[in-house]
Amino acid sequence: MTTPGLEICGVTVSFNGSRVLTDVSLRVERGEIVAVLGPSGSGKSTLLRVIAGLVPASSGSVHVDGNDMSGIPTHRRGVGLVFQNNQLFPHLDVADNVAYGLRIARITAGQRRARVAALLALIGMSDHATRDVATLSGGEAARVALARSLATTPRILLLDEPLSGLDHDLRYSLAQELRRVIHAAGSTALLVTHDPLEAERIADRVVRLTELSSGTS
Amino acid sequence: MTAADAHGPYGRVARRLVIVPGVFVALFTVWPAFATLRRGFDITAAITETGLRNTVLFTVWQATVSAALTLIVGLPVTWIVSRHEFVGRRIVRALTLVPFVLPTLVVGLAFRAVLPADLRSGVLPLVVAHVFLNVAVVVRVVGARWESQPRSFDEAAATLGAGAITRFRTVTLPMLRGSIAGAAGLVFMYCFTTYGAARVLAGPSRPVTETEIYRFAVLAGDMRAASALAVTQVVIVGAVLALTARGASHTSVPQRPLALRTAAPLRRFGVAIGAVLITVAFVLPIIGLVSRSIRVGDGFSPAAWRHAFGGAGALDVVSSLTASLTTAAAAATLSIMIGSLIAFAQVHAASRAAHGVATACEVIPVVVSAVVVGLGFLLAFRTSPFDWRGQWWLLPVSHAVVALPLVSRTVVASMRQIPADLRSAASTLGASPLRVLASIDASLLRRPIGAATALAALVSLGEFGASSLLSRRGNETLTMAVGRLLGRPGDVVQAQAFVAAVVLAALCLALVTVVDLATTLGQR
Repeated sequence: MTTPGLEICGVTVSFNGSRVLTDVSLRVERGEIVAVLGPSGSGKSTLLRVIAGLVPASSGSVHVDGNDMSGIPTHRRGVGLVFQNNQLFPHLDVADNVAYGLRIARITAGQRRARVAALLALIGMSDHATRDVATLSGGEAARVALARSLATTPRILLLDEPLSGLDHDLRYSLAQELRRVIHAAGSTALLVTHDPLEAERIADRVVRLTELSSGTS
Repeated sequence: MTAADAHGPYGRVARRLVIVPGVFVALFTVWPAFATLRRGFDITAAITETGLRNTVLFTVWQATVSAALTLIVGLPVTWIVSRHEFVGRRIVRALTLVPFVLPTLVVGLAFRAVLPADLRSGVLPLVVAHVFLNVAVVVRVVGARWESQPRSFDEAAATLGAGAITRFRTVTLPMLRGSIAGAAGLVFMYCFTTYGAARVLAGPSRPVTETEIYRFAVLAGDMRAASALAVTQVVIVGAVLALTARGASHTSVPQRPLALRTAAPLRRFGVAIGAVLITVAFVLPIIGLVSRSIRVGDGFSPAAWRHAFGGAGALDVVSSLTASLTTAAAAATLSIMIGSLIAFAQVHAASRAAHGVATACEVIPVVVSAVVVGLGFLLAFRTSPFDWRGQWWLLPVSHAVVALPLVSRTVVASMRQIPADLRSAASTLGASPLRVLASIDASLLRRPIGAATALAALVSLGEFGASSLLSRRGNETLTMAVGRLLGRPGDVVQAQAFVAAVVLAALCLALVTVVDLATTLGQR
């Protein structure tokens, strides 16, 4: 059996005594896109934050590409996270937002430009490189956020309700585009959402958060 | 949206009412400034005459050093009190704001009380006092932005591979840049126009512009030199504020509250140490102030206090207290009335001209420091029909002018925050414009207007710059009493200066506490 892209074993999270996640286990194969479905407040975002290392788990383990993530800080995990409200840096333009992680990885300027150009082409925004992110529409911002996370080729891409702020039609056409872009990048991805249709359009496999607790999947 | 909609229901009234602050600012700021300019328009004197030039250069230099050091000290302090939740955080944060609430003269005295004898006057104590006074500005201005910066930007950077230091450098700092520039500009201005602290700490060999304006105008009677310095100062302050204010309004960040929580053990340790250091540094001078008031010679004695309240000796606390309170009440009332009208016209006026007048009323008083106000009054109101030198109300009016920028800025900011849709909603429910004003604006503004009034009273209580140029016999306020007593010999007299300073400090703190309690209770 090959090493899975992501393996979560028995993760439990409590805040001030109340349990947010109980004994959650999940396995995502390399190159696979999995969607986790759950109503709001069910702890979906917390699951992603545990994987990214932004929230410590009370117990359980997270392995990415076979490596144990316990004790590794967020910035050394190689995990990409597309935030619910995108969280594009307001002081940087579109291209500089996408290039942010590349700069930190000390990619040379020439390679950086090429990579940013390729990503902007991939999301269909080649003409918007120098735009102020405050002027982007919801759909554009979501695509830029995706490109920013893909730029550093993370070992796993996490998406937290990436399309929640968009209106109905745009949402489902963009869902298919997301799927295309993630597959084109060859990335392993875990998506959380409350919308079954969105989950189906993006993911290869859809599971319910409640099915992940104690034993199943 | 049409132009009429944009101005809402008050456009016309606001346009007419702007006349009131317009006349006030013209008479009590522009005209005195003009009277000063007429004598001091030859500011080349400040460049060519060595004495004046050295004063200006030294003042710029010490203000630059003070502002830089204030940022270096203030940013870590801000980080501690605005990004972390810990037991006593509110108290530590309040402590950092205390010096700003106290009159600068009192803070100067506090430093004189705690510093060793050979360090009591000169550049070093002045700069240290400036840092102490202005850390509050950094905590307030930068802290407001830092607190509202969503943690998720930091988290986004972390998922992209940025470590703690890189995150601070590439995300936090650029997003704070505007507020840091704004704070730096304000601190520079406060240090550049320093007066109370400089009178006590700078010493006769290192005069700054404000103390020199006072010396030339009051002690030497050289109005030409005083005016030249005043005009130079106004020009420099105006230039610095124009530059940094532009930076302050540059980046816009979505506001969202942030749950503060301490994290890694190392960081928790650093924050704890920092909090203790802040507490010690900010409590010590106040203890020094109080202890100095009960020290006579080598021993401790309540003599100064007994004399002060008995009305015997050089200080009559009760009558000075009365004078301070009446002046503050009059100045605060006047300032809030004028300031609110400025804000009302600024936010609502329907015509461009009215809007322009309001903006001028908001901006012009900013560049005029307290001593310059005093000098302007002295020069403008000495000939009939404007010979008002003997009038009791001239002092509170000067205080109102000094407080006006703070007041109008506070009210404008809160008035802008009221969504226009609230008014529209009230109108569609049948409320007349007057009713809208009473039921929406007035009730939403009650608290900020209360706070701004208290701010004006605070400025008046500690006002020393304009006062020392306009002082008359009788009706001496506490601040003026401190200034007078300091210049006189004798152990008990010196201790009495500290008695007056302690009473003044207590008064200011009591005022702030009452307002703070009223606001917190009002929020429930």
